[in-house]
This record gives sequence, structure tokens and C-alpha cells, in this order.
Amino acid sequence: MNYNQIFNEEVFPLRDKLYRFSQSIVRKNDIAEDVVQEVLIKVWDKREDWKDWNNMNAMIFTITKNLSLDKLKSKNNQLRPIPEGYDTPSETRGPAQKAIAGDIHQIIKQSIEKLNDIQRMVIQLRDMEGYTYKEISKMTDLTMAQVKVNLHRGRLELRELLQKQL
Amino acid sequence: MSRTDLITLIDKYLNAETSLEEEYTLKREMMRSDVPEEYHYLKEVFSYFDAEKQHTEIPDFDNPANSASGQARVISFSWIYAAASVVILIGLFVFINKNTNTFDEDTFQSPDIAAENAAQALEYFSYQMKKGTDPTLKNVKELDNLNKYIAIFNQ
Repeated sequence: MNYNQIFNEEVFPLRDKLYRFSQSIVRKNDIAEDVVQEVLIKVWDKREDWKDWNNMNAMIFTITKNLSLDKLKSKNNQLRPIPEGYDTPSETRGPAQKAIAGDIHQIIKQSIEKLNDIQRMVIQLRDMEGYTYKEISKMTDLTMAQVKVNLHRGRLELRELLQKQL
Repeated sequence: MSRTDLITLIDKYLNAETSLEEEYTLKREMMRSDVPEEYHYLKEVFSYFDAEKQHTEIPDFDNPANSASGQARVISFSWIYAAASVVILIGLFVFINKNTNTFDEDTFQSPDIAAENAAQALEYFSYQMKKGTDPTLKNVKELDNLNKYIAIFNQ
């Protein structure tokens, strides 16, 4: 088994997806960067075990998810929730406020950040990365039903948040 | 796609019952201009996902398979900050110590030369100060003459 070749062809090219995935959980670029670098090293160090992994892709995402959640739980990396009405565009905006707060991209980003960790994770994997429900289920250790329920609730909550603002 | 079909597909999407193909179709339909007002937000959400996927700046990750030892280790940002602080502290300590030593060495190593230099400097200072003595005496003489004339007038 040529470990180098497998790693370079199947694992290392995943770094973009892993970074975006970790970012969706930890919501901080530098922590996501640390997580992905650590995942790449961990996967490489476990190369002797690759033969026992049924689905390498899913396994790598699972490691990334677990490490990201660990980082998120660590005291230093916890994000403080944004207080209601603070730094978010009001529902009735004048032209000047629209110019300042009308950055649609920012509004959507902030709304996604308000979803819970699981909802953010499944939306990221489905709507951005385009994985099937089955693949997401394996990557996240959730059942197919749980994946769909979280996706459904997350999308509804996003609609609730965005229909008011956009 | 008719408006009714679009709304049905959106409902299916919200219920997480769509296949990847159906979601692709939905995204394509949403990019058209005649999207019902209440679903404009979804059009923006799809654009956001596309933009994020294409424009997220990905850091340069080290490939452990290509590293010499194959056993690369992660150095987290917090450790880098800590290491940088230690280097700055050591640098400051060395710099301050070096400055103090330089000050001591001037006189400590050769006190005789230092004393000689100091004497020369004082002598030069004294010479420069003396320069003012002669003109002052001359002016005082002139004042004496003036006093004599004043005394004559007073008599």
C-alpha cells in the first residue's frame, strides 16, 4: 500500500472542505486552521489503520467534527452569544441604515451562526458541500432521520430569521 | 417551471425531502428573476453558499506525507504567541543588561584614562570661561571713568 499516494490523492485534497466544515462549527478562522492541520497529521499518523476504515472520507470528517467540537468546548475558544438587537440590522431600516447594514452576505452569515452546532453542520455539508444524506449521516455520527430533522429545522429557522431582514 | 411546481419544490426542500438533483434544479430555478417575493431570501442564501464555497480563503496547510520525518506536529497559534512573548522578554533583558555593562566599562576598565579625559575637559571648560574676563575688566574701567565724571558734576 502506497500511503503517500493515497494521502496525496484522497486525503490532502479534502482540506478545503474540511476547513469550511470546521469553520462552520468553530466559527473562527485560526481555530479551524489549527483543527484541519491537526486532522491531516492525525490521519497521516494513523496510516497503518487505514485498511480498517470502511469509509475514509466519512472517517476524516468525523475526526474533524470531533476535534472542532472539542476546540469549541475548550474554555478559551467559546464564543459569547450576540445579545439580542446588538450589531444586527433592525427590521425597519432607512436608506442610510440599509447602506450600512445592507450587506446581505453578512446578514446571512450572522443568521447561520445563530443556528445550533448540529444544524449548522448539516446545512454546511448538504447545501454547501453537496453530500448525500447517507454520507452526512456517516460523517456526523447521526442517523439519517436525525440528519433530515436537523436540516429541516435549520432551514426553517434560517427562513424565519432571513424573511424578516431581506 | 410553473409557480406552483416551484413552491412545491421549495416546500420539499424545506422539509429536507429533496434529492441532490432536485436541489440543483431548485437552485437553477431560483436564479431566474420571477421568483415569488417571499422566497427571495432563498435566492440570496443559495448565492451565499456558492460564494462561500468559491471564495473562502484556504490557508496553506503542511502536507505531513511530504514532510521529511513524516511525523510533523501541530504548533498552535497560542504556542506561537507564547514563544514570541518569551523571545521578546529575553531580547529586552539582554538589551538592558548590555547597555548597563557598556556604561560601567567606560571607567571600570581604565580609570586613569577616564580621569585624564575629565581633567582635559574641565581645563577646556575653564579656558572658555576665562575668555570673558578681559572685556569685562575693560567695561568696568569705563564705568569707573563715568563714575568720576558724575562725581565732578555732583560737586
